[in-house]
Amino acid sequence: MMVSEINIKLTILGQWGVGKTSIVNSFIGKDFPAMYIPTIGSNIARKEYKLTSNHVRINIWDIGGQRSFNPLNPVFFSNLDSALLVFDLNNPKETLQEILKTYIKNLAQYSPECITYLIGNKSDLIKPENSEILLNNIRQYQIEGFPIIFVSAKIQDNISEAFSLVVFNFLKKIENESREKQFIGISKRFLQFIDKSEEDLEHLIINLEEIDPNNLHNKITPTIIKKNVKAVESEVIPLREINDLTKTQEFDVDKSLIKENIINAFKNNLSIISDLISDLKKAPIDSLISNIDKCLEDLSNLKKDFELKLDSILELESSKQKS
Amino acid sequence: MPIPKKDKIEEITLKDFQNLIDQVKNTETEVDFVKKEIILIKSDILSSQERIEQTIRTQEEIIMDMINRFNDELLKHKSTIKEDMEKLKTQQDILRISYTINEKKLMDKVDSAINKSIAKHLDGKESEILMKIWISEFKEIIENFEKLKKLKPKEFSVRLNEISDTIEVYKQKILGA
Repeated sequence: MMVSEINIKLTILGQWGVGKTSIVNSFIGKDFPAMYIPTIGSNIARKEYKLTSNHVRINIWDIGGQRSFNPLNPVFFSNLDSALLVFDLNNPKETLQEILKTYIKNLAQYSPECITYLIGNKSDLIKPENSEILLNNIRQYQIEGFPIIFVSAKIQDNISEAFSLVVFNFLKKIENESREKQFIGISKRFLQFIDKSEEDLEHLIINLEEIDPNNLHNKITPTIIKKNVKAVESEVIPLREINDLTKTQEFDVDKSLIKENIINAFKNNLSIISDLISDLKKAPIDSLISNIDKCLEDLSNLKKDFELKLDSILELESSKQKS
Repeated sequence: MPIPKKDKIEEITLKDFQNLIDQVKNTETEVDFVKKEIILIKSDILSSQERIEQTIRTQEEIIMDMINRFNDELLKHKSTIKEDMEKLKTQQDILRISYTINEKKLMDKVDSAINKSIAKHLDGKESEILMKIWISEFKEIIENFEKLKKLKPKEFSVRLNEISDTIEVYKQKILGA
């Protein structure tokens, strides 16, 4: 039986420190980091759902939120199938403002049809007494038309479900738009594969108009602590934006850890290039040209990303020598 | 003394006859003398020939003796030279081996010194260097990528495999760094 491959390009965007990388790491099964390390450029992660007749691959572009790393570069917004706009539930004002001001505008310009969700991260830190203020803050920004999901990367709550919702909606979209036989019933097959119902996934979405602040805490507090991750008494440690890697000594950040992180991301992105080329080898002849164009665009983005990563390492090294 | 010529036989006298006999006798004596002389000369020649032959044989023997001695000497020298040559060859081989060993030792030392020096300078920077090399290689790949569209399927596949191999090589290097 022929197995077709479906690739979903998803970008995860948001201000620095909102937990984009932690969300991705949590989704692909990596440990939650012990400290905040900024993402330099973009890191790509992949996850595959192997359905019987289709392999659904989700390519997640995790874009560093530091302004100095240029997260608003149009290349991060073009040809997207889906986008997750992440904000911090403990700092909704500033992080939602950033989304409203910049990311939504760029998405509307470069990928107007992409499936977009607003993701409020760090739900584990919300206190019941703050629920009303939080909801009011979110309502204040009136980001209409984008469903909101609350997640916690730290305790892995609603993470895989949120991604599943994205994949489900994407598959529903291609099912409706494409008349190809192979896509008939694919969204249902996906639900069977993840053992969830459509209602389970839709239940993740917070209806701001209807939700009672008194029930919010019950709704978002996980009833099951997943994957043996223990919810601990957490305190909010204020993060500081790292604008200049040469001045990392001013922040409580381990330079070697940042460097290691960049190198690992470099290696990971290099592996992604291998995969992109392998995918291109398998591409059908009739869509070869468009596939080459897409691949070329990704490669160009990755080239810039590699350069940025290398420059960042050199900056770190120069700051080491100075100190 | 010439015999007087007589016109008539009756005129030859006894005296004449006697003269004639004497003359014959003299001639015979002379012939004998000549014969003896010839024998003597012959004997002289023979003796001389023998002497010459003897001299030649002697000379020949001397020369042969000299040749033999020369040959002996030559052989002696030859064997000595051969031995010397063997010795020289052995020494040359030893020198060559020793040179090769020393050269290798020296090269190893030089290599190790260079590697140490490079390692000292590159300590912890291997990844950056590989990244730098990769980026310049990657730029070239991207520049050529557009051309893929114009290639025939077979060439396309070959070129894509080349790109794939290049990426794989760098991937392995960077993953190993």
